Amino acid sequence: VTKRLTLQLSERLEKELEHLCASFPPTKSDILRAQLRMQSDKRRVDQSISYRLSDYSLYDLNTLEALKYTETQIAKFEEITILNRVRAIEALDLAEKLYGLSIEKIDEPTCQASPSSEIPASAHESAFSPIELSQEDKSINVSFKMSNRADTLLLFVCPTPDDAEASVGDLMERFEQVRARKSWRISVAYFYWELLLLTVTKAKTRMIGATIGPLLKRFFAG
Amino acid sequence: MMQHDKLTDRELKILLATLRCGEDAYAPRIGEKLLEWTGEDLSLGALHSALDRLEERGLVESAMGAPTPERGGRRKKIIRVNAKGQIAVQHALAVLGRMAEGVTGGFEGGEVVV
Repeated sequence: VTKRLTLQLSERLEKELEHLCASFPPTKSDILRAQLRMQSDKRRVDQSISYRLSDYSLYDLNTLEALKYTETQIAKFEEITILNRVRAIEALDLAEKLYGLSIEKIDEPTCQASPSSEIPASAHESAFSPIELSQEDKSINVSFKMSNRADTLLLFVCPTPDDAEASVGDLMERFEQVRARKSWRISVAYFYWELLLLTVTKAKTRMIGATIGPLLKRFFAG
Repeated sequence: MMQHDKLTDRELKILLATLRCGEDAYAPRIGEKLLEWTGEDLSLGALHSALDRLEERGLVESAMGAPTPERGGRRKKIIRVNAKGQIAVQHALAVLGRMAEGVTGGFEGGEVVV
């Protein structure tokens, strides 16, 4: 049942995004309608997501946890930027251009763990460690804060999970170059971006065209 | 006359950089080498777009490589120029070579010496 709901939600998310992107820039009523539809879906999934984690493979667990993360945390973000792979790779440039921020102005990302789980210190302090999702990690909440700005989430859209992995890796390397140059720390938040990405791409590959980087403000906000 | 895949200047540079990177040709590395050898600072996004187009045209192939720590344990997408791509590069270089034959005298004061 959970798998079916996962697929349904992914498909619904895709349809909503396609609809909004087709009519970009979306009107306020477009966004409001999308919010209402998404909230309805959220409630359905929230009611049914009391699954037994051990019943699912790691990939399913990743997907489900990403969905859960989406459901429970995404409302915290006031702005959501949807990026295709190419744009995702250029996230740094985007951060500077769209928000008028320089890298130095981006605050250190924050990580919060639920009482039932603790983030390993090494994972918090370094992006170099290979990150593996375990059940202990499942309820880590990550936010990405910018100075004097709303929280922002970058949602990656890639054609395949392999592309997603490679792209996020490329981005990590890029960020690491910047970090080395500007003494800026990299967050483990990308992990979740990747999961979100995988969640979205699992349903269908065709989602967004060649180049799109619209800001869909408050799309998921409750 | 046999039809060859035509390459843009950027595509030719990317293919040459990919060939020179050998087994470790992936987007960030190719970008680094392009910057080092040509002075052209191509964004990763532009590089990915170009590589995607080349792959669609069947001039390069990709495969997932091994994960590395500096990438947070994520794998690289290794790019390899296949036979068709190599022929396209050879043809493009041959065309440039033929074009350059007439200017072997060099350049003097901004004028071409033929």
